[in-house]
Amino acid sequence: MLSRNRTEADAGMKMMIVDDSNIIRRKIERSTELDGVRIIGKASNGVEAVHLFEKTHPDLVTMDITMPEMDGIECVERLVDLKPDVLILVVSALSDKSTAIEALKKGANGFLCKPFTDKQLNQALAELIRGE
Amino acid sequence: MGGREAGQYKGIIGAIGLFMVFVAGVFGLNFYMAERLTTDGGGVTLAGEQSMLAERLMKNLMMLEGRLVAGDPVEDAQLALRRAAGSFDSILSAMQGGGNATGPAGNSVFLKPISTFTGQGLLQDASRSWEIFKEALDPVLAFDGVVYAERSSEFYTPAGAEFTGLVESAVKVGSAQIEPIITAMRRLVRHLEAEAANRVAQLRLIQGGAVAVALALFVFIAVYFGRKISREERAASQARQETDNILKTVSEGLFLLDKNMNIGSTHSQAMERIFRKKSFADSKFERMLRDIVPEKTLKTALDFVGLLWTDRVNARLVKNLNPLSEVEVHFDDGSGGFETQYLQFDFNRVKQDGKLLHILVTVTDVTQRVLLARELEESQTQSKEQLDLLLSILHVEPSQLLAFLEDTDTSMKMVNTILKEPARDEAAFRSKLDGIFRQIHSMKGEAAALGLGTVEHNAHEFEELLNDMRGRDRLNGNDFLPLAVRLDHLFNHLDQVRDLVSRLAELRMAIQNTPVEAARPPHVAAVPDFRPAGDNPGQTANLGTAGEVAEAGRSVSMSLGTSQSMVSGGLVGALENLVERIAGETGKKVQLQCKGLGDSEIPSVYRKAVKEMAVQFVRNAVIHGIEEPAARQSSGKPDAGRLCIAFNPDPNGGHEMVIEDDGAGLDATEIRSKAVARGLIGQEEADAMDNGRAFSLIFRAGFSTVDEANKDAGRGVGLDLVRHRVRELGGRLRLSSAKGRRTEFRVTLPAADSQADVA
Amino acid sequence: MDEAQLQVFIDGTIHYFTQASDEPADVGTPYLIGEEQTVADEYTGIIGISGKRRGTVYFTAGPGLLKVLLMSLGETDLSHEFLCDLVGEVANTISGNARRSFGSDFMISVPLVVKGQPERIHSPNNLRSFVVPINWRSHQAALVITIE
Repeated sequence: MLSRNRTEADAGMKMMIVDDSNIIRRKIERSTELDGVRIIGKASNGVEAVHLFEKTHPDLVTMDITMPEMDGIECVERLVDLKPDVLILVVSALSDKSTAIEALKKGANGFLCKPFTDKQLNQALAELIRGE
Repeated sequence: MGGREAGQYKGIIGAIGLFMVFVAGVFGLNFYMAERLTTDGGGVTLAGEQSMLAERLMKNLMMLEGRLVAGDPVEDAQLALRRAAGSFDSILSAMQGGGNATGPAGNSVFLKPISTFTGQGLLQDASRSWEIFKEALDPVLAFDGVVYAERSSEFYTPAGAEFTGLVESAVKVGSAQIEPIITAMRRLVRHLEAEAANRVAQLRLIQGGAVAVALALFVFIAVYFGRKISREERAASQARQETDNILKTVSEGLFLLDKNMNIGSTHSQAMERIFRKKSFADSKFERMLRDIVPEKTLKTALDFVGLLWTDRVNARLVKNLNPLSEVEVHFDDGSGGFETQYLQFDFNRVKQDGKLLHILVTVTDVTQRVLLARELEESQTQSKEQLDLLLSILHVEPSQLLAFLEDTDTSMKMVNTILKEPARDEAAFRSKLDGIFRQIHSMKGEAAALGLGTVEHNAHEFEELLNDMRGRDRLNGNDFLPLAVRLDHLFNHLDQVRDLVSRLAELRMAIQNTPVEAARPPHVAAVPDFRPAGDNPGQTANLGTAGEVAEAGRSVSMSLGTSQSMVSGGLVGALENLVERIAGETGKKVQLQCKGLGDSEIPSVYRKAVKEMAVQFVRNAVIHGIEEPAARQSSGKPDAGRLCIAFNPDPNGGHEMVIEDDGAGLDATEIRSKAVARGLIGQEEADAMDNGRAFSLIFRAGFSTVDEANKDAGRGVGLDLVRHRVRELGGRLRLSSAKGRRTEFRVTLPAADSQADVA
Repeated sequence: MDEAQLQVFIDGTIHYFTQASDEPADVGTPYLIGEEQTVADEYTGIIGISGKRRGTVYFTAGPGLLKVLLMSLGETDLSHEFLCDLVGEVANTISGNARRSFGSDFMISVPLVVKGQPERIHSPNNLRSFVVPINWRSHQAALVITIE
C-alpha cells in the first residue's frame, strides 16, 4: 500500500468526483466531510475527468464505472498513468462485480457499492487515505 | 526461518564457536611446544659441541707445538687454532648473554642466553678457566711473524723462539684449564637435557589440561543445549498439536493460498467435508473451484483473489466485490445429478513484517441459511401472485369451482394424451390440433363463465398458439413443443389454484373455530370429573374440532364466511364426499339421503351450525352406526346402509333436524363400560343408569367408542360439539336407538328470528 | 423452462443423428409426464443440469435403434458395452450442445449411462417432465427433460 503520511493529509487532499449522474456527483460532494479533504472538481465522463485531472492533479478520485465517452475502467488506467500514487475509489453498483474488479486491476484502490450512505462514503474515503 | 528461531539458535552457535576457538588454542599451544623443544634441543647440541670444540682447540694447540718442534710450517695450524678459539669464545659468550655466535664450521647462529641459574653457574665456571686459557692463548693466536731462521746456524728466528715459548706456556696453561672447561660443558649438556625433559613434562600437563577443558566444554554444550533444544522441541510440538486440534475441530474450511494460487499444505479437516475430497495439497485454487462453480464465476473469483495480491488495493474496500461471498456450488453426485450447496469464502491477507505472505481463505457452508432466506423470499413473491388469484377465486361458488378444477384437470390430461399419441404425418398432426383445440376452448369458456381471469387468460394464450399452428402450411412434431410448455404452465397454474383453495379452507376452519372456543359454556369447566383423566378438555376439543372442521372445509367450502349464500351451498355435495370417503376407508357401503339442506331452506343464522352438526352426525353414523357389508348381510339387511338427514320447519315456527341410520344401534352395556373405562362415571353410577341415561353419555366430552384416534373419530369431541351447538342455539337434542336396527338423532331448534345474535 | 431452452436439448439430439447417419431423426409431439413417472427404455444416458436452473435430461433408447445406429456408424461390434457407449455418446453430444448454448450460466455433468429401468432418475421434486419422442427410421427413442 502506498502510504501517505499524516502531514500530507493534514495539508489537504484534493478530491475529484467522476460520475455521469449529476445526482450522485452532488450527493458525494454534499456527503464528503473528512478533515483535510477538499473537493476541487467534478467530471461527468472519462474524457472530462482526464482533462480536469491534468489541470488540477487531485490526490483522491471517486470513480463511476459506466459512463459515456470513456468508461471508468479506461479512465482509471489513464489517471494512474498520469499520477501513479493517486487514490481511486470505484463507486459503482454491484450488478457486475467483474467490471469493478477490472477497474481495480487497472489500478483503483477500493470499491464502494451504490447506493451508499453518507457514513459509508466517509468511512471508505478515510480507509482509502489511511491505507492498510 | 523466522526471527524467533534465529534467536533460539544464537546461543548454541556462540557456544560451538567458543569451543572451536578453544580447540584452536590447544593446537597453537601444541605447536609452540614443539617449537620450544626444537630450540632446547639446539641448546643441548651446542653445549655438547662446545666440549668437543674445547678438545679440538687443545689438540690444535698441541699440533702447533709439534710443528714447531719438527720445524714444519705452522700457519695452517695457527689458523685452525684461531678459528676454534674464536668459535668457542663466541658461543660461550652467546650462551651467557645471548647474541650471534660463529659455529665451528664458520656458520653464524643466533643463541638465546641460557636462562637457568645452574646453567649460568656452569658457564661461569667454564668461562673462568677459559679466561685463563685465553690469556695464554691470545699471544699465540696474535703472533704474526717468521718462525724459522733462513740460515741453518740458527733453527728459529728470535721471534720464532719467543713464539715457541708462548706456545709451550699456552700448552701448559691449556692442559691445566681444559679439563674444568670440558667438565663444565658436559655438565651443562646434562643440565640442559634435564631442563628440556622438565619442560616437556610441564607442557604435557598443560596440554592435557587444555584437552580436558575442551572436553568439558563440549560436554556442557551437548548437555545444556540438548536439554534446551528438547525443551523447545517440546514446546513446538505442543504448539503443533494445538494447531492440529484447532484445524481438526473448526467447522470452517481453512487454508492458505500463495501468490501462484497454490493451496498450502495444511488445511482444516472441515475442508474434506465441505469439498467432498481428501487431498488438497499441491493443488491449485482454480482446480478446487473449476468443477463446482460456473466458468464465469471462476474467472471473476480468480481475478478477485489476484487483486488481494495487489498492494495498492485496499482489502477492506473490496470485500463486497467478493464473488464467492455466497456462492452456489454443485457437486457431481455420481448419478448424473448435482448436489447444490452454498459456500461462503472469506479472504484475508496474511502479512509478516509488512510483507504479504499468504491469503487465508475461510470457507463456511451456508446452505441452510441461504435456503431459509430463499424460501422466505419465494413465499413472499408467491403470496403476492396468489393474492390476485385469490381475489378471483373468492368470487366463484365453491362447488362450481371444485367441479371446474376437476373438469379442467381431465381436459388437460386429455390434451396430454393427445400429444402423447404417436404421429408422424401431417394429417395426424392436424387432427391432434383439432382435438386439443376442443378441450382448451371449452376450458376457456368455463373459466370465463366463472370469472377465473387468470385461467381464462392462460387458456386464451393456448388457443392463440393453436390458431397460429393451424394456419401453418406444414407441421412437424417439434412445432408442438410450445404446446407442451403451455400445458405445463396451465397444469402449474391450476395446481396453484387448488393449493390456494385448500389453504382457504384451512383459513376458514381457523376462523370458524375461534367462536367455538369462545362460546364454550362455563359449566364444562365447572364439572371437572367429567373430563378424561390427565387431559385438558378444552384443548382436546379444540384440536379435534379443528381437524374435523378442516375436513369439512376442504371438501365443502373455501368461503371465508364473508358471503352468507355460499356457506351451505355445497353442503349436500360435501356430505356426499365425506360419506364416500369414510365409507371407502372403513370398507362400508352407505346410501345418503338429504332433505331440506339446500341453500335457501336453512335460515341463515343456523347455516353454520347445521353444517357442523350434519358433518358430525354423518361421520358418527358411518363410523359407529352402519356396519360392514358382511355384518349387515348376516343380520338380513341390504349391503348398503341407509343414512337420512332432513332439515324441516316445524309447525311452531322452529326447525327440526333428523338424522337416521339403519345401523347397529347403540349398545347401552358397551357405553356404560366405556364411560367407566374413560373415567367419565363410576361403576356404581353406571350400574344404576337406565338405558336412556346411558345413551346420553355419548354426548359427553371425552367419550368415544373407537379406541384409536384417527382423523375421523376417536377423540371423543364430535357429539360433544353437537351438544354445545344445540345448547347455544337454545334447542333440544333427542336420541332414540334400537340395538341392531337403528339410531335416530333429533335436534329441535327454536324459531330463527330469536337467534339474531347467535350466528 | 421455456421453449428455447428445451429446443437446445432437442437440437443436440437431432444433431447427433444427422451427423452419425444419412438419415435425420424427426421429433414427435412432445408431452408431459408427472414427477413419479419415467419413460426409460433399455439404455439411458443421463446428464445433470445445475447453475441458474436445475434438473436432469436423459436420452433413452432400445437396443434396436442403437444397433442400427451403430451399424450406420460402421461398427460391427454390437455388444452391450458398445450400446452403452453409444447412448453415452448421444448424451455427451446433447450435453456439449447445451454447454455451448447456455454458456457459463449452466453446469452440465458428465453423462451417466444406465442399463435397464433406472431405479430413480434424480430430478427436482414436484416437476413434470417433457418427453420428446425421437423417431429415427422405424425406431423410437425419447429425450426426457426435467428442468425447473
